[in-house]
Amino acid sequence: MVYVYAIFEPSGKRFDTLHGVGDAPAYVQLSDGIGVAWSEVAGAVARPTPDNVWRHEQVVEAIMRAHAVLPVRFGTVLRDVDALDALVERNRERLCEGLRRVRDCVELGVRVLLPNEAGTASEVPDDSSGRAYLLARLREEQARRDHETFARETAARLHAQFSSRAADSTLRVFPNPPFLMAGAYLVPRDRTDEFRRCVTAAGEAEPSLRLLCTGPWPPYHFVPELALPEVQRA
Amino acid sequence: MTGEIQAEAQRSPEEDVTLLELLDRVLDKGVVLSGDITLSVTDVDLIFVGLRVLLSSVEAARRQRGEGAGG
Repeated sequence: MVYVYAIFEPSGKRFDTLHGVGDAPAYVQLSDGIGVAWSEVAGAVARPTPDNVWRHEQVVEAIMRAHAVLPVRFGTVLRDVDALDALVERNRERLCEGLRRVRDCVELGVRVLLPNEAGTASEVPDDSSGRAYLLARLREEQARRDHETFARETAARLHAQFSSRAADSTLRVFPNPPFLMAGAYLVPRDRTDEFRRCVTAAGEAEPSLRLLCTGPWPPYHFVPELALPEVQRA
Repeated sequence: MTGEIQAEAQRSPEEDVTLLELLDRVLDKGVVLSGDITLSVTDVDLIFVGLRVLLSSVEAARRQRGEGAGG
């Protein structure tokens, strides 16, 4: 069976020997302008151990160094190389367009935390009456709604700043502390320093928040959706 | 970029967030080539239980170290 790491735009550059999940060698299959990196594996079950996850990522990042790359989700195992070829052919246009879209870009992640004292255990009232209980619950609910509003408005403001420095972006807002938002940004390689400076400046301007910028990642959030074969029953 | 994933006890809060970001991407994003990805369930449960504990401890660790917020 065939474990798939990534789809990429071949450039004629040679790869160092890569080893992927289970330390299996990673092969490259070229098909008329689209490359695929894969390994032979014994079975269809992938174990997301830190080692296997790291090796999967290592193969993708090695390719990313010099090629436009579309990372494949962890654990993707196909029947054989023919099945892989058929998928690529069926989706040739979408893959070429997807590769064009991410060419010369990397993905940067921004995670915003609201380190806070509220939103955790509520105060235990001395008065253990039902009324005190209800008041405590009402306070909790109000705090939760205040956080949601704050999260939405803050995320929108920060996301507008960051996405203006990116070719594309995605945003996730979290309703509960400590996380406020997680954004993914497709940034041209030569603009990543500028992007990071923007995140640092935004963090300095908002002392109640903690901003964490990670990357460069392969463009996991910016891949095309493919047409998959119908499930075949034996 | 991500380097090797250290054993949990040796990781800094920054490395914890990087690991979270990595797992979030490889397990939940990326090209879907198959409607049928089988992950070993026990391992996944262990990773995510571990991460929930990690996430709540990241900020606690920062407060303990007296680090300011922002940046």
